[in-house]
Amino acid sequence: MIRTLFLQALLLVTLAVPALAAPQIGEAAPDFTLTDSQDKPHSLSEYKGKAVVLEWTNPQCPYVKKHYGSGSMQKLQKDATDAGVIWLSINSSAPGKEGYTDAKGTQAVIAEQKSAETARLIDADGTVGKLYGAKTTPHMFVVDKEGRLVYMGAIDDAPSTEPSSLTGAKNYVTAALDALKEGKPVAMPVTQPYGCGVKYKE
Amino acid sequence: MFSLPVLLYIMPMKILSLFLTLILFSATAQAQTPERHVQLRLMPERTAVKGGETILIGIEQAIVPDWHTYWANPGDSGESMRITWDLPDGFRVSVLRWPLPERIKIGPLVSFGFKDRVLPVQKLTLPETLPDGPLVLTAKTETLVCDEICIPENDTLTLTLNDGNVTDNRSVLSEAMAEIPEESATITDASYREENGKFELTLNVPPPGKVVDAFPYDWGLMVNEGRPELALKDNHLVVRHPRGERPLSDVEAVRVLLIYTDSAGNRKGIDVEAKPDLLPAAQKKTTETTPLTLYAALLLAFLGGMVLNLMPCVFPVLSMKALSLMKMSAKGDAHARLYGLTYTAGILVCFTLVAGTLIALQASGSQIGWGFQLQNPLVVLLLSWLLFTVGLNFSGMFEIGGSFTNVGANLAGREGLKGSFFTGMLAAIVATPCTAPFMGAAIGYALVQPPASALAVFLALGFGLAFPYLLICFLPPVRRLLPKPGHWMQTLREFLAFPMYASAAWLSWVYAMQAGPNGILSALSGMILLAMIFWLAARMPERGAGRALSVLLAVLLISGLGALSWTAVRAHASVAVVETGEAEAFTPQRFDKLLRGDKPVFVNMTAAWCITCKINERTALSSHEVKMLFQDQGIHYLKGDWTSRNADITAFLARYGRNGVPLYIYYGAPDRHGQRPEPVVLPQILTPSIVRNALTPTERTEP
Repeated sequence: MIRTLFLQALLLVTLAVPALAAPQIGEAAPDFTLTDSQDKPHSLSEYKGKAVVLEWTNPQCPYVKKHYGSGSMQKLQKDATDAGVIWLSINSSAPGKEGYTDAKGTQAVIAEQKSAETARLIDADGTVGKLYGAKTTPHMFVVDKEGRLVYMGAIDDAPSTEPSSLTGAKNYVTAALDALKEGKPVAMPVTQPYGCGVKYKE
Repeated sequence: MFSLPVLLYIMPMKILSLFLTLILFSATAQAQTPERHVQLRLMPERTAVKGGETILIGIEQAIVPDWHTYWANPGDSGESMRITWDLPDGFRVSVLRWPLPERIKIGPLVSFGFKDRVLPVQKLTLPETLPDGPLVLTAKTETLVCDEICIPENDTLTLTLNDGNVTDNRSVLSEAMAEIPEESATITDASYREENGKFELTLNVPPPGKVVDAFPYDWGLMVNEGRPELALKDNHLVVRHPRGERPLSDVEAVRVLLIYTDSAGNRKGIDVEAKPDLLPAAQKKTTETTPLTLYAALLLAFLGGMVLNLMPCVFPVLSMKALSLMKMSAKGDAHARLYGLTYTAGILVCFTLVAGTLIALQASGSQIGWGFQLQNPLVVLLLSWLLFTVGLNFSGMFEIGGSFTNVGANLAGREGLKGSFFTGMLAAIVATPCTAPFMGAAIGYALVQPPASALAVFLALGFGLAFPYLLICFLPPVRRLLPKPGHWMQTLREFLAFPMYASAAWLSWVYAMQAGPNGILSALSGMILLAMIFWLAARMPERGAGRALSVLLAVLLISGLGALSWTAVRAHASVAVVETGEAEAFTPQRFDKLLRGDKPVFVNMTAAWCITCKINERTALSSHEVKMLFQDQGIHYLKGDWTSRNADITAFLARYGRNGVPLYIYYGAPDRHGQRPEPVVLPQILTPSIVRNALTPTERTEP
């Protein structure tokens, strides 16, 4: 018995070691606290009772630029937040890496992009990005009202930097939020994220 | 990039050329070309072509130092080059074939890609008739090139054929093809599954050389970080790596690139296309979609225990139970309750012992399961002697603790209580190795729980077994329905000795199965000795040296014979047991092979000591009707024998959330896409019509 318990404990420890964890669909989304562009802290747990979208972003990444340059990301954010969804954009670029901005720089990016998220969070040491196994920008996660992860993966089914690819693309985040609203299970809970690699510190 | 002052300072010689270039550019180009990180070039095998030919086209990527582009599967991030040809009717291109990628690590992320230069190749097939003169084809490409940051670069490439220029890239392309996995060599005899949180790919054919690495073409099957573990299992290559986030239910056939060194020491690649191993899907179905709660398991175990009273397995102790039941009518209320409680206690104590041992052995890694007590030949031998002794007692050859003649009066006494405790224990040990409806799921659940919960489930099972009996003991109105005691009970007891002998005979047979033909001799010799000892003892005085001597003699003889039998068992190490008849013996290898075939497969997990199994085989599986059905549908019939310990069978049972026999599973024939339907798990009690319905589910839905 003790040996089994010990082995289980050992297994848990080794599982915790990989740099990128992968959260499980249907399980509680890992809680975190990060500060936004106004230095205001936000925790995932404080939004229990509301659906939450997590968007990994990097303003310099060509794939992110496709979604912001066309205004489609802003529209997505506005539609979601208008419907009572919490939208947290997270930047895990490390200082000195592409896309990193401090609080003030982040304010400038928000102003320039005219983005409409609930808050833009700074994850300069990459802890939260690694907690969620965020690999790309954009990399999207949707959490339901009970705090369970219901979607992770790409923003849509058009992995390209070409703005023309947005036409006719199926948006997975919209699909997930619609399913939540209708109380149905998310049809495609896991898709392949696409984009630039998250610029974690080495 | 360097700023101009730096350049001025460190490389005065370059300034001139820089200025010259700038002047030249401003003179020839309207806008300055953005800085390029990857240069693309189309390299046709040759440019002089004829209609109907297929030629190779290389798409060379020349990448600036330290930057990289991506393989077919880019890994954690990035994107593989996309090429879109603008082709007239009748022209066709194949998919891009890529050379062997390398792992490129940036922070915690891992990409699969190429540095410096890479030459993917595709085939261009020309229509039968070509227009005269030069032929110009264009292709648009989107290439993502990254170091730390990523830049998408788009190009329009032009291929001019039959323009009179003779271009020959054959040697470059044949060099490139040598590094590209040969399409026709793709290994398709392979399967994949998820095992202990790992993606596991198994090759059923030997690999062409020493395999040194593996890369998945499909995303999310395994994590991209780290090198997969490569192992040889029964001469089959097994590739293992922690699972990625993509559900395996989302994928069908998967492709994996294996990198190996051939006999000449060259690094080569070969593609593997693997089909899902069907077992884990079924395992998922039983363990993931129907997770039992502890309460549900306790309820199922209780129900299962009650149903167990009606299973053929209970036959060996039926006479003892019937007799005790008859005795009920002679008892007062208080005594009857006490009687019921001791019987229950006997069952529960025995379940605690058996289940405790099972849990402890499993925790220490033994591949054993419910019914393991009868997998031990010595236990079977001792049980057969015990049942024989009980039979002798019923026959009146000897009495325990005094005269038994006045049955009614005597059984109300204390000896009766001991007897009921003993009956309970025996009921538990003999009658429980088979699984009954409800029980299978409960036991399967129990054995993956912490010991306390597991024990609770087993005790619920025992309580369920005792419950009907207990109910009779506690309900005087029910008891009054039983016939009045009298001399007929003595007659009944004597008659009931014969089922006991039958049970002893059956266990001797089981023992012979386990211990070999010589086992029958030791089992029967033991019985004769026992009979002789009891005959002697009955002739000895109640007390004194003679009595003690006979007891000593008995103990010596029995233990001597036991030891002798044990050595016989040890000598008879590997036993071919249950007669398989028209069935083949189950082995995991044979089973895997059959599942990959295109015929339906029926698996029967059985044991000699499982009477329920034997009755199902006799009345259903060996019936003419079922035999014909198996023959007509070309069903492969595999029979697994769990009479003695068999880790393979225990593992198979575990995949279906079971830990006991019988287990019957039917795997329907694969459809056009090679996909088998969900396996059908048949109930523990079979009739020919149950088997027929399970095997032909689709026919019944037709009008």
